[in-house]
Amino acid sequence: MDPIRLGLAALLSGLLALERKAFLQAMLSRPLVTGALLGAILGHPLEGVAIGAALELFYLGAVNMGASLPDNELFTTVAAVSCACALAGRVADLTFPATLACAALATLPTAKLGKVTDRLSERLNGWIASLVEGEGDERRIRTGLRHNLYGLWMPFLVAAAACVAGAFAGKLVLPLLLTLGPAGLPRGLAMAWGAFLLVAAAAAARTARTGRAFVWSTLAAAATAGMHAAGLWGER
Amino acid sequence: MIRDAPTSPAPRQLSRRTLRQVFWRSLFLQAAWNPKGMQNLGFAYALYPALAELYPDAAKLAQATERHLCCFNSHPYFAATIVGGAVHHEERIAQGEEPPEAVNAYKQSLMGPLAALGDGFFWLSLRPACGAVASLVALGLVSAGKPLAAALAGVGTYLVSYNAVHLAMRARFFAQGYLLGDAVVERIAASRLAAIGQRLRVLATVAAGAAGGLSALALPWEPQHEPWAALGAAGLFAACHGALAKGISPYLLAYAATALALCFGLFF
Repeated sequence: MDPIRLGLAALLSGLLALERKAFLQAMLSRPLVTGALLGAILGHPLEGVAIGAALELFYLGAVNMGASLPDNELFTTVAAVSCACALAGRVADLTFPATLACAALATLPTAKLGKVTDRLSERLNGWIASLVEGEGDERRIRTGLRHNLYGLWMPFLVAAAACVAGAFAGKLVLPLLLTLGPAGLPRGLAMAWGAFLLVAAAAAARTARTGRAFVWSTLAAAATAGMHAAGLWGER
Repeated sequence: MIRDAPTSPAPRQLSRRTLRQVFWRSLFLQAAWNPKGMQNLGFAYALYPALAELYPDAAKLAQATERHLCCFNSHPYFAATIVGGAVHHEERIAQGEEPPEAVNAYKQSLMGPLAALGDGFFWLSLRPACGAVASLVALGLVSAGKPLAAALAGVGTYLVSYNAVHLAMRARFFAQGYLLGDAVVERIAASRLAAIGQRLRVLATVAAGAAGGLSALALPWEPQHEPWAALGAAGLFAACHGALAKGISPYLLAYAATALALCFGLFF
């Protein structure tokens, strides 16, 4: 993988991490958008947008309400996309869906790690806030208020590191593990991608918390799959 | 309390430039979110340009700033209303028309209800609807092998549909908070956000189900098995939905389902 592209992707990951909670929250850091942007930078837009869409569905219910912290979906997206882009084309017989499954399954638990770093970041922010509170002096307060922006550093660095770590896993670790696996592994992984999409969509449908979510979503699933089987939607 | 005592708008003292600065800084409300004061530092940071203009005396400025370092937490978009309202109250306090405690009473009264309203509408309705529809569009185009169209249409659908509502409402909340003060509550109460949110949640559910149906395309079925794949996808989707409804962790389900699929692919 081109180091310049990886550096740009890491920089973008850091900036998107700021947008996730600290600034604006215009959904630029959601998995679908992040996946598409990182995939384009890393030269694999199809991998980026496919993983992004799947993770968007999987984490559609991840909501930061009050003091509760959800799993960090950005952390996983960044790691999964950089991993998939680094892995693409490196292992013989590993098809497109198999690559996606491999990257997504390998990086999914990192969302929990991201949550831990979010908690640490909040503790650091608590210390920053304590520097300002109780200051009677106007000049010190004014300087202290600028410390509000120091809270941006940790999410930036953590997300950039996740991008690099994902690329490392996709380039070195996963190819080695895949070559040690049985011959039918790529076909199994391709089926696993379909299964992951199913679970992600079901998790998204559960998020909406509507009275008849089960009926509406199952009917929609049957209709879409049926339309495709009848040749009315897309091509295989 | 706030509903019973609407205040009349004070004569405006702040320049448009300062108000724009306050609004811009309010976008950094959660930059230093912390467990003790929550959004307190971000709130004081946002308000500081207005306070600096209202209180030329350094000691009064320090007192005014410290007022806003008390614990504060609300929905980040709806907090724009409270930031605007706090500027409104600070103008009146600076003119001696209100006691300094009035601004914190305003903040404390509104932050809870507006947080609940914002969470319900933005986080649990608008975002799931935009995200599910955009993902459906992107997955549909990915399955057709059109990466550029998938990226542009998926991302475009998401960002445009979400931010057309988000940014317009956020700016409007700030302006209304500043202009109306306590009377902004009546405006918000008159909005139909809860009813709109309910419809958006149905849209999210249907779009997510349709995306589940698309997952059948990712499975390497033989052409003669297509109808069974469609039926199987719908059945498996319903099974996954039921399992999640029973409280099974999505992570556990994801790994269990993919492990089963992996075994199926390996041995059949």
